[in-house]
Amino acid sequence: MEKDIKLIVDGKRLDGRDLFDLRKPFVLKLGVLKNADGSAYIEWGKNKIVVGVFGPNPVFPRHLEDPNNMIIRCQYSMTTFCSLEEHGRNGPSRRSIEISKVIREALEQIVLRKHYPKTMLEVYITVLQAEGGTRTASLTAAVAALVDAGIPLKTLAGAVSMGKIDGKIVADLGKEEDNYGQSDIPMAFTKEGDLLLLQMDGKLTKQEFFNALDKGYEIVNKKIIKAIRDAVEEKYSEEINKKLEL
Amino acid sequence: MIYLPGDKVDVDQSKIDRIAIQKRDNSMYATVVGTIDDRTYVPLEIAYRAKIGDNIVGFVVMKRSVGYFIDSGTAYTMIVLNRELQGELRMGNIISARISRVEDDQTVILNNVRRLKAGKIVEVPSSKVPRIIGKDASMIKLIKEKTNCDLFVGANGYVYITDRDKNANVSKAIAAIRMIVRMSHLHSLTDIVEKFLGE
Repeated sequence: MEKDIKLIVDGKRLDGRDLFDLRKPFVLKLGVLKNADGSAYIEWGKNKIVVGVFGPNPVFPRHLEDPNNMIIRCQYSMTTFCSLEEHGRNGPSRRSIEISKVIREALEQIVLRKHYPKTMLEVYITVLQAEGGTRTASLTAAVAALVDAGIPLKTLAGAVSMGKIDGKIVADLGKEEDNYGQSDIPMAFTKEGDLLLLQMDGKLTKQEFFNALDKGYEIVNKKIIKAIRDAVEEKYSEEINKKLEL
Repeated sequence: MIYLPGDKVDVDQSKIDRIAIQKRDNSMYATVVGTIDDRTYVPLEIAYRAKIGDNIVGFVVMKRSVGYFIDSGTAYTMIVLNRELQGELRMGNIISARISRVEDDQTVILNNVRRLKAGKIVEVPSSKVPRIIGKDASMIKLIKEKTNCDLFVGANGYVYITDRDKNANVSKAIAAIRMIVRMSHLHSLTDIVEKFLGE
């Protein structure tokens, strides 16, 4: 059955995109939640995700605290109405625990945790609507929310999923391409090109894998990190160049 | 010009804030969102870090043999030692105090404790506190004068407001503070607030 579906027709994908185009719309907004210390909302294709950051706060339970570093607690959760598969399910699942872990480990690499020892940072990610690639969209929004919260970061980071469909390497897989494609590789990079997250399913040749990695970094650096920068600048757009009266 | 984490910045070496700026390979990089004013890096958002000499506002939440524990809305455990006090405190009292010591285990010891009379506490991000106070305390003086309220701004981001007499307008003072937080990055904010309070 899988062979009947053509995912690339005349060089264009199912939704009319070129091979390395991102899905549209791509909207990133900061400061959307009043009670969070930092927050971000991302709309990436049909994905809709809200991230709230709280902290640094005292660690609870106390025995988890790290005397030298801030600990990060990350919770990725899908709402019951976000997609057909998750219909009616509630609470953590094998998949959401895994995604929470990989996002937390990516964030631990860029947050300057030594400045806030014995504290805890909470990152809550809620997926309102899902259409493939939620972990990359969540990570991008989480970095934007950390910037909004004023947590010191080494550098900016972003994520994108690369993949292989109909024998070709493409960027930013949608739901059908994810399900019927040959491979899916979510990846996250810092601005300098350090790898923060890399997962893969399906099969690729060594050459294809390295092509995907290079192209992924280019997209993160040129499009995703630029989107975070634009979102921050939008928040402080008015008269920022004038001298501050402090 | 606005700087984001990881951006190279050109600031005065002697005045760098070691949290907002990170040194790598003889260059300096921003770690939080901010702007540069007179070669000094001004963070627009930064999580609170206790410094000796900061004046804070908080609630008394717990009494132990060593002294009183204060809720300051930060990651720190703040303690008023018994020997710093003349009388006694009660749970829920609002106090202002000065940070005298920050221990290695992130416990903060307070002195110069003053009990404040009943009032309201407004929570604001600690990075906006300099704007609420204003240059030479001009902003806070303006709010006090126009609304007949007494204000005390803690560096931790708790703003204490109470009325002076029956003509006081506490809700207007709170609205003004919320407005300053929202517009903190704008130029000539004092004029905007003055116009708002005059209405």
